[in-house]
Amino acid sequence: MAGRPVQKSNDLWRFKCYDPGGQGGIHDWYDNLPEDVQAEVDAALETLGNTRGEWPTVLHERLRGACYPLAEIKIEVDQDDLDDEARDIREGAGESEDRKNHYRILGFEGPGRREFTLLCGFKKENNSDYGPACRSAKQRREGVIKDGQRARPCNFP
Amino acid sequence: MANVLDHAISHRLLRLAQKLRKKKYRHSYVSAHVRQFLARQMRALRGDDSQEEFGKRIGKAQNVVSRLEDPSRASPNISTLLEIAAKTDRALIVRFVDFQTFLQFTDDQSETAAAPPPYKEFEVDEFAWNTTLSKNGYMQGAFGAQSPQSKNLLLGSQYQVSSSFMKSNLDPLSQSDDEPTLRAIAKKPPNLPQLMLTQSERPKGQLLTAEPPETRQ
Repeated sequence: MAGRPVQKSNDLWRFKCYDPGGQGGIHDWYDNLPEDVQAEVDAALETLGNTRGEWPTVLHERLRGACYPLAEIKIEVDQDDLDDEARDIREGAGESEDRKNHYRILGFEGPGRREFTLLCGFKKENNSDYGPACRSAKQRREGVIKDGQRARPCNFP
Repeated sequence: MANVLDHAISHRLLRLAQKLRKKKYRHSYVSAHVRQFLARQMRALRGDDSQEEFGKRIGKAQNVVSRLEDPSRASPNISTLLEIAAKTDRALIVRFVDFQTFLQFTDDQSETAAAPPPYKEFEVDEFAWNTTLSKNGYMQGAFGAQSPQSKNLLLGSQYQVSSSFMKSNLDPLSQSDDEPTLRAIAKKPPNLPQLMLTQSERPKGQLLTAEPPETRQ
């Protein structure tokens, strides 16, 4: 049973992106995100990439059940349809938690040492069913494990 | 290896500079980076302590510590940050900067940047001396005015005034930082050989002696 990504040396993590060649890679998803979401993704992955110790659970979580052995990277983005005053009112009323858009990137630790492969991303709706995304991500994972060329080194930002 | 690292870092800056051309991305990235790095700093400052233990150190409840470590929930005000800085004996910088300065800061994501050491009197004094003397050209003679070493010296990162110099020659607290005083220091030949520069990772026994710039009057 693999644990959470814990590094035993000083090496940093490197990200790989699922990219079967041409279309269908995770960059297709990323490139179509709004710019503010791209910025959040970049900053979150940069933080993880520079964290030598255990990845914080607020950003990374191992999945169980049907999604095992995948992990998710959690990106929370403020909804930008509120002006500052409306946001203050909502936050004052303790509603700030509800005013986020939740994005998830599914991936796995590997195929190489200290590599984390990003397989697919999606916007998580309320009571979101991970099933379809996990099935797709697991298929992609199998593909990457069989053929390492299906995932290439990638950088964020 | 260092070249490979430099290569990667420079590419990061180029990629980021290109993305920053878009206003929405630019301001979202500033926000995201500040929240992410602050949360990472809070976690790093906590070290091996539990959130509860760290909370006691900084006078906050465990749930506050938890929130501070969560980049999506952390929005501490400046007073809270100043309180934490005081309790952990670190400094805090909050200022508006241009994007070049911002890029420079974001490029240092080292462990030391995440968890800087607390105040140490000697190191702060030493830094102050090095910077003051360097700015006034006092140490340029040792490395050449344009050398990379002197640039490092200006940053106070590679070479340092030795402790023996500081103890035996000058009490930083009693010195004025005005130009006449610095000129007087620079003109004092008997003291010059005692101004030893030590390289942080030099072999033992090797000392570099600084000389005053010839042009100094």
